[in-house]
Amino acid sequence: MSTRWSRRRFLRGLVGGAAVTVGLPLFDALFDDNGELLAAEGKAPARFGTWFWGCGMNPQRWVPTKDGAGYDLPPELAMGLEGLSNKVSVLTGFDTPLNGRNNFPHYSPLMVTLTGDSPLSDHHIPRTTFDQEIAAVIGSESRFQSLDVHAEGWGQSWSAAGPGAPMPTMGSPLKFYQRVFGEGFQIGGGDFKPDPKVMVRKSVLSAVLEDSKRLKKELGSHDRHRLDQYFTAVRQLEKQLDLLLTEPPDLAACSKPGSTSKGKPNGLVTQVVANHKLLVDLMVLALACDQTRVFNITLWRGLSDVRYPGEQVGYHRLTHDEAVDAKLGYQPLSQRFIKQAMGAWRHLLTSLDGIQEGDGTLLDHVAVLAHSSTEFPKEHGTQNIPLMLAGSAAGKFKPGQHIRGKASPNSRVILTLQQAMGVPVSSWGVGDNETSSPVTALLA
Amino acid sequence: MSGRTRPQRWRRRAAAWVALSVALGACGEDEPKAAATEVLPPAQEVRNFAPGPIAMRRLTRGQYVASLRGVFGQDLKVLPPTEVDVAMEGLLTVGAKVASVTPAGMEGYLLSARQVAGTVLEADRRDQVVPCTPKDPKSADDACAKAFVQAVGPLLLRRALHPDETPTLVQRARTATEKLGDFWAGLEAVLIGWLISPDFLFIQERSAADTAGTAGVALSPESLASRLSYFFWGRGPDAALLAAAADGSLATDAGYKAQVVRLIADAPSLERGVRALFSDLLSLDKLASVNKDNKLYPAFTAAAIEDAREQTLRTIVDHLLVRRADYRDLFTTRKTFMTRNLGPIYDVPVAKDWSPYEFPADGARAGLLSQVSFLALNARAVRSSPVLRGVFVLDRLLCTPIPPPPPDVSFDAVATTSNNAPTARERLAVHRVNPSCNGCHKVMDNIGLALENFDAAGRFRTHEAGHAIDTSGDLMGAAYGDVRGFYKVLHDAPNLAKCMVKKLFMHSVGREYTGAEVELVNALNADFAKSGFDFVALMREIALSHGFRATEGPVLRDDKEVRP
Repeated sequence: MSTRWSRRRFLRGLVGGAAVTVGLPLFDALFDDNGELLAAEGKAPARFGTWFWGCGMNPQRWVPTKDGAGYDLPPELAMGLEGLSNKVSVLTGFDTPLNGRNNFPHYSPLMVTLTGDSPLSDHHIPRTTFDQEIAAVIGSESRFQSLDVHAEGWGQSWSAAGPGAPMPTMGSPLKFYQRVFGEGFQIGGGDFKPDPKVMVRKSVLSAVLEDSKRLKKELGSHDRHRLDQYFTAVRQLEKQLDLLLTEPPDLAACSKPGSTSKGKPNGLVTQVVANHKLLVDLMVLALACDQTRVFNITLWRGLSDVRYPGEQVGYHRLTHDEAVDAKLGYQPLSQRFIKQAMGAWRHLLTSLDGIQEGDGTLLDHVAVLAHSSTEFPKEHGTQNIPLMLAGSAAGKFKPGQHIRGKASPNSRVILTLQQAMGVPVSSWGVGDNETSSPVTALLA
Repeated sequence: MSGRTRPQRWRRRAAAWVALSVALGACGEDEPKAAATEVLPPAQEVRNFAPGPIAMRRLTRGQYVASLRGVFGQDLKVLPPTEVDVAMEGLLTVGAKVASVTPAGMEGYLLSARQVAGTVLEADRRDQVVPCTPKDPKSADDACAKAFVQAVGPLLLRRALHPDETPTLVQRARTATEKLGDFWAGLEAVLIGWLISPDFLFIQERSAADTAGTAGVALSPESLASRLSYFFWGRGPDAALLAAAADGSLATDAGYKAQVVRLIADAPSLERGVRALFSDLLSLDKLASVNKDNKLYPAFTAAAIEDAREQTLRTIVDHLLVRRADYRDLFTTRKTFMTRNLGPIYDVPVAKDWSPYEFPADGARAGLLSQVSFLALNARAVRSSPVLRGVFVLDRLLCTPIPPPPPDVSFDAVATTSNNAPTARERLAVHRVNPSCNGCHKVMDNIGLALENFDAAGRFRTHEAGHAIDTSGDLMGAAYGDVRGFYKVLHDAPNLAKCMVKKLFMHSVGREYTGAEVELVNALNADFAKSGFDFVALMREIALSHGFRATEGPVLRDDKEVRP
């Protein structure tokens, strides 16, 4: 089902004929999934993203005491959500059972959250991550099926298209800028002429797909599956080139950013947070310009060595080494990192909320799941992994609630997200994570 | 020996190997008694076993770049693909058997393909790859396009073109040329198509159809050509190797041996292959993203990091290929090379970059583990990390992977002592006393603590926070008094050479070795020892072995299927 949504497109559709260039039947362009006539201002599509921060929080300073709507903001949660809590749901008490497997600290809970299964080693990817399942459904109409950035500058994402297919990520704002807003970026409203070189490139892709069918017959099932992933990737690239050959929509919320800085993070917390800000600002514009509808942002890893200048020990080590201050009731040095993380999350939320889009803000049209690698990081627990869901994905979710999982697996949350975003899945997860019981309270 | 007893013997040996692996895997144990030391036939004669499966491997980033440079010249600038490599058994070339392609990675492959195709066909470069001149540079020229397709296609795809392939590609060039009014744009379209095709991105292996037998079947000559060239040179086969595959000579013993001899004799190509292997095994590519506190380690600059990587590779090449010295001595040799960037870290004066340098006999530096590349990579930004260094040595050099910490691990014990502990030894003391940690940490911490004379950037020190550093310890039962003693103990550890054999064999076939290959690996161990641990001789023995040349199935097959 299409979610083309610009006013220009809508008008062109009305005039007729142009529906062919849009590549969609007229009715698809006029009506959304519920059969509602699209407003003349256009209706924004639902987007989905994840935001990851390593090393969790202090539960007694983060978990609200009140349930449901109008929940309270303990100090660490307030650092992220003050003034925004009506647009964010907080999910506590959800676990990541490991199915009896070893706990690879910080990595196992993360993989359970993303794949519904527990990894066999500290780099094993059990299954396709759920963001890619969502991307397969809602990501194919934008230029990039998904975009992925990592503020620590790492080259590999948590996201994966399959066990042997970890997604590349980008840490350099400049490279990210070039990828999204460099060659191939088109903004509506100007003269449009399809580039014949792109047409040739697209025909090459189609020809390669055709040539490669021969190979498929020769492979065993494991390799055939990998070849299928290859085919999927090439088809997505074909669609990307297709979009370059189509006149871009004139989106009011879209503006092309000026260039950005190289921003090589050097392991200091201030640098990583500054890098995160640059990457987030670009990601928000990439969403506003409909370059992608699925995104993943990592602030820092669970095993991060990010540190303050002049200090001996990086964050992860510090969370283990530092004693809990008896008077304060928390680890004062580690606490500084939590404050930075919640501030970075807040920056993402306010940036999304700062972009007007049709009847709401960009934040109203996305759903962003914030998740971490642990609860209280001094212990490598797999229970009470903190989760937040920001935005309502254009009316799919009911934000602004505190929902308790009561020790149920967080695969329930992930199942809910997938179902709401249109993934045809009735159960999710493996072993103790297997569930067919969504968290209905999340839904609008 | 009857056909019936063979499998039994196989199972027995496999069981012995498993027992050995388990004993090592349990860590904290003394070095177990080596498996039966009976006299083994040379690896090339070990035939009576089921050879391993075929693995379809996605080119690693390194193989991708090297393959293109192999075809288009070593000076070719290549935008590296963005697709992430996957490690298995500590090697990306083995993880390649599960590595796949993602949408974002495919986008990167297309960008790389466009950049490479554009560069290769630049006006001042195209003569190297296009064996003709088009009649009119603005129009299609089927004859010239055909000459290009036939000259370059087999080198990139590592096989002869199928009969119907050439006309299809010539037509593709014509269509693109007509669309864009440029002959070269037509060739560019063909080139881009090759570079993003699965025939280039995946190393596909096939068996020769007509050689089925109880000891597996031979690989097809083209598959063997790829196996050989990625093993020795780290790139796809050159024209001579493809010709030997095509004319049947590679399928004969004499022709095969001649190619092995030729691959070894080409020193620059062999050097590239060996550099690629050790970059992979030692994770040297990760050095580029290592950050150190620049106030504490001002000499640890980007240029010094690059030199540290090169220093290690030069040491390896000089030791293993130029001097053909004992592999084990790589961990005790005092010979290396210095640059002015590295001088301040090693605290030695350097007049000229890359001049040979020999560490003093009474110093703490000797061998790869005393080099900045290893020491800095396996450390934190501010502090050294005995645990990281220990794990790396056990996993990559001794093939003794460490089990993960127990699920109920408590870090409180470590934390309480750390704040007042002067050196790493005291900080990590709890690891070695607490029974739930000690099994593994005793082994890995001991290795790392022996190297505590080197800080997070690899600089020498005798004290930490004013306290003398104690580097004594033991490696699986063999005691040493200081770091030089540790190098010697490591050198003498039987697993050091055996682990290299295992890693090199897995690298050569692009997959883990199977239980059925234990006899082959044992024979290779014996060959390696007999040669005085000559690395090149080991490469040759692997290439000449039946296990390298054969596979178990008639067609590409599923990994999970088990041969009855």
